[in-house]
Amino acid sequence: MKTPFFIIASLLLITSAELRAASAQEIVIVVNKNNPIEKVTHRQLIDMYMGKYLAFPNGHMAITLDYRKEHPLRSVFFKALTGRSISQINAYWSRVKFSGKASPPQAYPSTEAIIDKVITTPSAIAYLPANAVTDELKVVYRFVQ
Amino acid sequence: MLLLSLSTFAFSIVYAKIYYHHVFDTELKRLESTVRQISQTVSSTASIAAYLEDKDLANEVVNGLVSNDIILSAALTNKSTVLAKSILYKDKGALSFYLPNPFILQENIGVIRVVPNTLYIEQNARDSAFSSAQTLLVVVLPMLLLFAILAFFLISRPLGNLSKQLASVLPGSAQRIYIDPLNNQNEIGKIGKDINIMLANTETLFEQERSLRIEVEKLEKRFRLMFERSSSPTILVKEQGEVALANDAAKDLLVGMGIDCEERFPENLGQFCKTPDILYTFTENSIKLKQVMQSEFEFTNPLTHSSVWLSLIILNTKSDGQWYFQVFLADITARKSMLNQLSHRAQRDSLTSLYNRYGAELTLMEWIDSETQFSLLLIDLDKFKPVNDIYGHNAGDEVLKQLAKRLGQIVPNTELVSRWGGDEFVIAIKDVNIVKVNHLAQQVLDEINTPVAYEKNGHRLALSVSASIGIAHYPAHAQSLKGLVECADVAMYSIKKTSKNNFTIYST
Repeated sequence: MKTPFFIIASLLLITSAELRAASAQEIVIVVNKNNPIEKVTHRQLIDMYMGKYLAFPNGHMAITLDYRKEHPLRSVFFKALTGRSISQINAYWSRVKFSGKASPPQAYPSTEAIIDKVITTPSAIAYLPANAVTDELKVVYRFVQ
Repeated sequence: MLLLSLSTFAFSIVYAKIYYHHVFDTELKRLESTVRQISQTVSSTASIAAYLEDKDLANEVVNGLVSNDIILSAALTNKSTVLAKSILYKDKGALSFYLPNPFILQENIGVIRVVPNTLYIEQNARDSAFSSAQTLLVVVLPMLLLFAILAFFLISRPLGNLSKQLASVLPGSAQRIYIDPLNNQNEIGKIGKDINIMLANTETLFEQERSLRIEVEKLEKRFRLMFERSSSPTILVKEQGEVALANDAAKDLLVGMGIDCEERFPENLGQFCKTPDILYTFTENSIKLKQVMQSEFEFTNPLTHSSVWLSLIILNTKSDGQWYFQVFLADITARKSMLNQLSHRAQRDSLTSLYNRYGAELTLMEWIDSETQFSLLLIDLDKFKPVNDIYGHNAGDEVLKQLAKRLGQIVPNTELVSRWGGDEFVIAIKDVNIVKVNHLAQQVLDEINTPVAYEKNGHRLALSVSASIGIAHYPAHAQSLKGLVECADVAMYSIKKTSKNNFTIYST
């Protein structure tokens, strides 16, 4: 009985630490290093993440990456992107999914998984805490705090 | 009443009409606002459809809108294209609701156009308004009818009844209005009672008026009788002199003087007056001063040429703003002549019929007042007492009578002869010429010296007396009558004491 409690407690600690880091840190948008795109606008980001266009401004297909529902960075990101709460975003998707025209981004459990996917997928686009950015990634947008 | 009912009916129709329009407008607004609310409800889904250009979602929104009765058709468009529209959609009459970008609120990305089902909405509103107005009329009309019926039975008919009764009542009679016991306690009954009170008052007033009139008539008759049958001649004259009334006595008097009753006053009398100027002044003053004035005037009757004395009393009275004067006439000729007689008697000596001392004094005072020069002869008989003593008083009286008669004959009528005292006479002539006076004095002595024939007990006697005469002149010897008589007395005594049977003029 001791072990699960410890795991949960340590998980909670990590979560709260990450959350603090996330809210404190700026979020950046990254793409594969080989992607010719150098910059995206806030508006282009909205259109890509809200399912309007699944393409980069240059017309190349884009794969938007997101975190799983429970990931703390997600609510911070969408709040910064659209000014809406996560529940409003969820309600949006449930309405849109019904008609089948658009679909939400693929969801990954962690920043590591996201980084892996971006490195391996040239058309991927994702968001990360600024301190998690590696050399294999290209930052195309920074949220001004 | 009919008018009231009609106007109330017309009013309720107008009111129903206004009410109908009001309800109609309200209903129309309400339905329009419902359209807005419905459109608002779908706007967030519509925004998403416009954002994603999702025609399925857009169709869903449009179908949802059209499923409402009050929406005829709808269309959802984004910036460039129509995403969805219902059949029959036309832009005309559409309400537009702009759709914001779901994530960038200030950006419009599309529009929902909703065409309200105007026919349906209006029909709805009309139905609603019509039923409201109908309800109103259903409530109002029976009330109106009830009101009209009640008003007719409770007010119009009783009032009409009262008025009919009132019209048949003769004013001042004992007739009264019948009040229905049903109305005894209400306003109609009160009106009826008030009318009866008024009728009673009217009757009392009429009664008073009637008795007053009878009394006035009676009085008038009496006054007329008093006026007409009065033995005192009275005429009523208007201010301008027109004779308004003349009683029988006045008519008799005027006719007796040959005066027409229609002639104006005072000219009718003035023409025969001996002093018309005084008469006119008198009447003018009376009219001017509005005072009661009385005076006596002498007239000459033109028919008989005899003297008539009339007393005039003028009394001014005002009636109905017009001045009248009552003229009371009285024939005082008889009284006047009696007075003249009395005055004559008082001034005359009953034995000799000459002026007595009082009468002489009156005449002499008049002469003195008019400053007439005259000579006064005071005559005192000598030896008269022995005649009385020897032959008796009758003999003495006879002497006095005879001498008086002789003196009267030698002195003109315009002069004065009087018996001053027992055996004293006074003669006065308006002359101071000494020759003439002396001549008269001598004549007097001669007459006195002539013996008086007297018969006593069958014996014829000749009684002789003499006289002492003193003469005084006015105003040379004295200014007053008393003084003058004293002067004459002094002169007379100077003769009496000396020679007797002589005369002398007073000397200082």
